[in-house]
Amino acid sequence: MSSKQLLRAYTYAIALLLYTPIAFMVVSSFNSSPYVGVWEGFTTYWYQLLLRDSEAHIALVNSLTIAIVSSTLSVSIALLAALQVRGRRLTAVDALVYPPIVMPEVAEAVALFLAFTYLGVEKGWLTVMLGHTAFNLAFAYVTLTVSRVRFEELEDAARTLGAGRLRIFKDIILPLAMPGIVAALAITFLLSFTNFIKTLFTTGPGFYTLPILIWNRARRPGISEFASQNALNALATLVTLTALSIAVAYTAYMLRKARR
Amino acid sequence: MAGVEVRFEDVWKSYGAVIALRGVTLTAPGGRITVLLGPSGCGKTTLLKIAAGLLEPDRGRVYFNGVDYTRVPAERRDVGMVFQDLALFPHMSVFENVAFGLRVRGVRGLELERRVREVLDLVGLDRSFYNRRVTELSGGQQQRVALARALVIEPKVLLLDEPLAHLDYKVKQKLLEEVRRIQRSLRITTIYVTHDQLEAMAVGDVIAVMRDGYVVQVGTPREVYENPRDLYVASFFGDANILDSRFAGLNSDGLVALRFEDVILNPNGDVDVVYEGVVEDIVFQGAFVSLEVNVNNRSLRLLVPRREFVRQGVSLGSRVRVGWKLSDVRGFNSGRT
Amino acid sequence: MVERSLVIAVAPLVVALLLLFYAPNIALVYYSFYDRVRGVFTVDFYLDVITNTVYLNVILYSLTIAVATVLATLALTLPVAVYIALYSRGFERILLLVIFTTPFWIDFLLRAWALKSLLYMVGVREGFLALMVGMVYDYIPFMLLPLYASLARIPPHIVDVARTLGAGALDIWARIIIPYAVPGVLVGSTLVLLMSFTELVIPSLLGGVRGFTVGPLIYTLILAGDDWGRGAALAIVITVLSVLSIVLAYRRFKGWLL
Repeated sequence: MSSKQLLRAYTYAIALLLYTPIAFMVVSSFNSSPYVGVWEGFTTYWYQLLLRDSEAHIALVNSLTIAIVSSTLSVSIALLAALQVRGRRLTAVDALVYPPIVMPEVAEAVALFLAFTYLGVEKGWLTVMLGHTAFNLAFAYVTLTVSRVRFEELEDAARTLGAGRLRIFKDIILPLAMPGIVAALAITFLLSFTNFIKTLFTTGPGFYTLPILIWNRARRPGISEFASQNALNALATLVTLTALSIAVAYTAYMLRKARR
Repeated sequence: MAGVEVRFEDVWKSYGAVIALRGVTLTAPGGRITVLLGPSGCGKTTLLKIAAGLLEPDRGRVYFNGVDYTRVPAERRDVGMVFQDLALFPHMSVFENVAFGLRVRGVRGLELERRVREVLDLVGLDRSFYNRRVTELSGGQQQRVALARALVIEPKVLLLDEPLAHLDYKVKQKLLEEVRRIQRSLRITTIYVTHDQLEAMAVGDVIAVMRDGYVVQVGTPREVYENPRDLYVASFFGDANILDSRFAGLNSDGLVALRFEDVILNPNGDVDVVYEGVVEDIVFQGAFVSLEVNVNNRSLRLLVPRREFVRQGVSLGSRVRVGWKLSDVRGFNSGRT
Repeated sequence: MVERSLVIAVAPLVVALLLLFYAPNIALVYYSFYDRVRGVFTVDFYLDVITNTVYLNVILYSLTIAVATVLATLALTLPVAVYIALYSRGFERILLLVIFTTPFWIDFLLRAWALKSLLYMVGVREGFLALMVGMVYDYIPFMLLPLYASLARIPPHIVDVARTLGAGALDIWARIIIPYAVPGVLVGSTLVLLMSFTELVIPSLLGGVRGFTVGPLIYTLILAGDDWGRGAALAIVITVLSVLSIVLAYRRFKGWLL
């Protein structure tokens, strides 16, 4: 075997390993037994159980609303800035934007916990959402400014053709900024939807999102039927599939854009 | 109609500490092509952007047919501009790129289609291109779209910023011809920026040679070529031997220019200065052959028609005579380089 | 000079970051110095974190795990990065990049949980082995992508050129691949080191009694123990360590990360 074939075989083996646990999780979620490793036949019982799982429903609604509001809010604010900043390098803004990305998440989470506690804010939906937004703002801004097209000459061209500012924004800047906006929305939505650590530190009694629910059940599997291993596998499968479908849609969109 | 005359009066422009234009006064005559020629950084693109209204001068005025346009913004100037990197809208089809300026002006429906079609016909792009994305086109085709987009609004003035800079030689020649043809048929005042002297000669009715933010010389290509104002123009616009004045045969000090083709190989009388030398280099260029002759350790370049070169049977190392008429030697006022 | 419209456009971003990120960090600093019980300001918490052997041991243990994670992911992913960057073409390359970036989109928690089920089935229970497998598994993409990014900068055909000049496989690795990989190794290692050092989910879920690293320690101090002072001081210490190493790595190879 040539070194190329060897490397290739190795690469695909690693790829396979990377997906084995996820595949195993998906398969297990269709196992009649509540325990992994004991195959007792195919069932969709755990998914039916999810329909009755009111905790999961609440968690889903919380996760979705927080992710939607946080990503929309952070992308809007970041877009406003990114469109004006353009090709320029604003060192002062960059200096403010990068620390949230660089800081260890657990430390940032502690900071948020202490600040909300100090202020005496009741922890729940709002504190979790605001906690996600700090990080999302930074990420959205970086995404938008990295994927930016150089607009200056296109704007000049549009101006010589008689276009005013509004027209240039509507017909030139917005369509060209769209891939960046989609990327920023997708990334911040998923970061928020799947966020665990900041949520753990900014949530209050009785408020939980999907990752928190999964965490609580994963630490004490079998405490109830809803928390049995394979019920949890079904829930995790659904969350994973949601994230994956967004990832696939996003990748397809970007490839289509790139090909043009 | 003669077209709109564009006049710059004492135009100054600086970017921070860098002064791009230092008092440019220039008239681009109506209906003609004026070429701004100079090396990069000479201010030619800045001057073009001031004509377009994309930049405002720090000082000085810009007149279109005698009307002060200095403060009229680009979007209300009715100028068509082709940008160096073309600046085609990457998210639009060929048709939509060209239609953009018309849509902005509220042109719709059949009228819009007719005018886009006419201008695309003019630049030689047929229907099969209309729905193509501009990013799929070749460089030459993109160039045509950019030209069509600038022309469709029937601009008062056409501004071209190094429009052919990135094209192959053949495509460039073809497009140069077309630019001339289109410009003649529309009689539109055109300002054409380039650093390429051959391009400048090929399209220019008027050439303005620029350097360091000044216009150094203005004239027809022939005037500038035959009577360069200084050594800079002589060597930038066309090629010239720069010689010591006394060596060239003049009774004065300083440097002079002598065009390559004005040096005659093995002259039979009819010249004022003759030297002997050795052929050190021969470059075959097609219609002409370029020779380098060493005369007393000075090297002289001359350009000989191919037939003449063949007839004389010169080869590397040949001893030859070279000579020229004093009337072909270009001397300049001292003090300038 | 900055124009007005720019200031207005950037203001919401700046204000939001100040309120949501910088203000909480002031609270973090405040509590790291403020003793709630005695009502005085003190540096005791920092001294405790740095000198108390219990904390020091946890920090060293976490660092050991992080370094081991870096070495393991580096060894595992370097051949993959070489294959994708140097040997794959066209569709295969896109496919492989999609395959190896997709795990980014699935949360750590879910991947750790999925792995936990699998390990449970093959008989590996919570403990040091499960912890290390979990770390390596979750951090493979973070090491791979910077490696790939730096190796992708090797000009095409350079390997062929080297061969025509008589270079063998060993020369190619020593003189082309390794030198090009250095910035990627640095960025990837920094990234993985920092993230795995402060990891909370994997040790808690997979580590069992061996899972008491700085992440769970901070969790315990703050949320379970109400020991805000030590928790905050510890959070600041690991942040300072992290920022220092990022600045060092980033200064040398600007533009590689992000």
